[in-house]
Amino acid sequence: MRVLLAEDDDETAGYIVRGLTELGHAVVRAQNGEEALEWGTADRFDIIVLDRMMPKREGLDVVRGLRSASIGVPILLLTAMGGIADRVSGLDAGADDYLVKPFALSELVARLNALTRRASHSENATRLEVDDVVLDLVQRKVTRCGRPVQLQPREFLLLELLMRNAGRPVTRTMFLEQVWGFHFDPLTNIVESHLSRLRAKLRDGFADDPIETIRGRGYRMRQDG
Amino acid sequence: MANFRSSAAYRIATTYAAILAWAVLLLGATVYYSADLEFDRRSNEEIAGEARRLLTLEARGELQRELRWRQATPTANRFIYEQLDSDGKEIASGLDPDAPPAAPEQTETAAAHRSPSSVQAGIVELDDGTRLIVKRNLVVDRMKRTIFDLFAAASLAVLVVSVVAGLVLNWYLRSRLNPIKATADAIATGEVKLRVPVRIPGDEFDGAGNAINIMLDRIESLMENLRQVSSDIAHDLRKPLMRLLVQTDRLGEVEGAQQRVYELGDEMLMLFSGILRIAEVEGGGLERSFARVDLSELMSDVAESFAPALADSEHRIEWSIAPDVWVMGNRELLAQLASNLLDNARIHTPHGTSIALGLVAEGALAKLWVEDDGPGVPDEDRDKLLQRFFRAEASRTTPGNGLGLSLVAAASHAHGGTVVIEDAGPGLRILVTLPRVT
Repeated sequence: MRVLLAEDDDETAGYIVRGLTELGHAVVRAQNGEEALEWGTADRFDIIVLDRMMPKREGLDVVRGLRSASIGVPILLLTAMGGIADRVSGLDAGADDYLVKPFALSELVARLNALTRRASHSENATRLEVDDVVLDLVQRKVTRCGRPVQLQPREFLLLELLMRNAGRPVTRTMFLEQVWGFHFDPLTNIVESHLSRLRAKLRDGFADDPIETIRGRGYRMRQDG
Repeated sequence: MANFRSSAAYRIATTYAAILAWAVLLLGATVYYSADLEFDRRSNEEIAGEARRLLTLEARGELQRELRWRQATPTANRFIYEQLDSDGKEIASGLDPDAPPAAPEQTETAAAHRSPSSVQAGIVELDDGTRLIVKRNLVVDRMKRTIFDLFAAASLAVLVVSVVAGLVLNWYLRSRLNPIKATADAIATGEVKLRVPVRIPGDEFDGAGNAINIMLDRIESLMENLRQVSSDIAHDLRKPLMRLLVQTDRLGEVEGAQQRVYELGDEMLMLFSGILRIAEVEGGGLERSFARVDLSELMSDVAESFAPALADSEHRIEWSIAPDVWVMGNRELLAQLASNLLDNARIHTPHGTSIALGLVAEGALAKLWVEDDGPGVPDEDRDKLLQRFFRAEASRTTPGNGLGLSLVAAASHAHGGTVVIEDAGPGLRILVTLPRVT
């Protein structure tokens, strides 16, 4: 995956570049907004990661510049501003996702993966299939090995998100944002309790659990082969 | 004088005076000219009438006697008479041998004409071939002159009165505006608690003063908010930071220290987000993101989302939510409000506690509450629950940062609502009242 990272803070940039390079991604780093806009319009990337507050040209401005130059590459905004209004303005400018600093590298990677997948997948697939689990998006039905699994609507959405990101971790905040639309973290772990019910239903009568917990990172739908 | 000219009161007064003086002058001119026309018409009529009467007197042979009588009694004499012979030579002027002769050209054109001096005359042809000229005396001119003088004096008086009124207006405006200016000056030097004095019920000045006071209140509460955030960060983040430093010191020496460092870091982040979120909500401006929210649907959603987790911690939850209760608000903030209420109920009550979430519409209000039958909160602590970082003695050891209910309060206020904490005997009920839309 080819990543354009625009981040003016050397320490943060170094942390992200090291982490992404270790995972086998190619990262180009821009030091300010102007460089980011130049790189972004001149070269092809799979994803662009922009700091919101940068010298010379601020992140939102770069997002607008890229979008008006018809660059449709997914954009993730990094920001120290976690306010409700800040997020809305970021997404309104044309960003696809919004991550508040500080964040764990695993959170960033999970989101980058989800964004590139979303861009390559056809959003209007009617059916998702991961190994023996099949999810019918039209009839809202799930089967495992052809056996129907009865899910609550919320459990269905959780499974859909996991299956769209099969083989890669989905974090707690991703569940909260995409399944619940919550951009805050309740003290009560509603994600965990819903997932444990989903997993119990999928496991019922089978030897293995198609979903695994990755400590400190989130949950992953197993994908064999 | 420069100061006076730059005064708005002075400009208002002089403009007003000028307009008034012009109006008086215009009125004067109109009255003067219409009076002039009317006097002319009337005196023409009178002269014609007098001429007819003189002819009648002459026919009776009483003319000369009458004229002599009139001459002798000036009060009855409203006309001036001149007698000319058949060649136009003057025999008598004003029937007074000493009076100067009338100008010949005037007599030529005498019939009811208007001369610059506004003397009007009529000619009576007598049988003996002489002509008697009847002239209107100058009373008319005097009257017109009086009218003119009156209006000129009135204009002058208006000017004088206006200047005085201007001074009074200037004094009045200053006396009303000075307190506002003085207040602003004092606030600028740091007396931020001062407010503009306002009378009730007030006039436009009081209205403006009131608006300024509301603005000042708002600014002060924003400043207070900012001060609160700074002091929260300064004081309440020291404790976790200290713990973090202690754990960092033990890294590599004690088992699990690294995990603890991560946890403490997370805890501090949560604290930061909590403080900043409350500051954002209290700071206002979120109204721009407000839209119609189906509170019934949202609350069912939150309750259903929490139900499995509450069951896992062996709490019982039930909810009774009236359908179709709508409010104007920020969906996410309202979700966080309800979520914090349920978090709070779960964290501070033991296993087996029942938690109830309710929503009803009551008139123009939406009433939302979360109630538990747990141990409750002592009376003296109940009011403090909404304060930042307050934690009742019994909950010192439970998780949480003392910000959950502060956000509930801030979010309720941002939506124009209120929060009341009540004893549910046993347990606690937190009631949020929001304005409802239909």
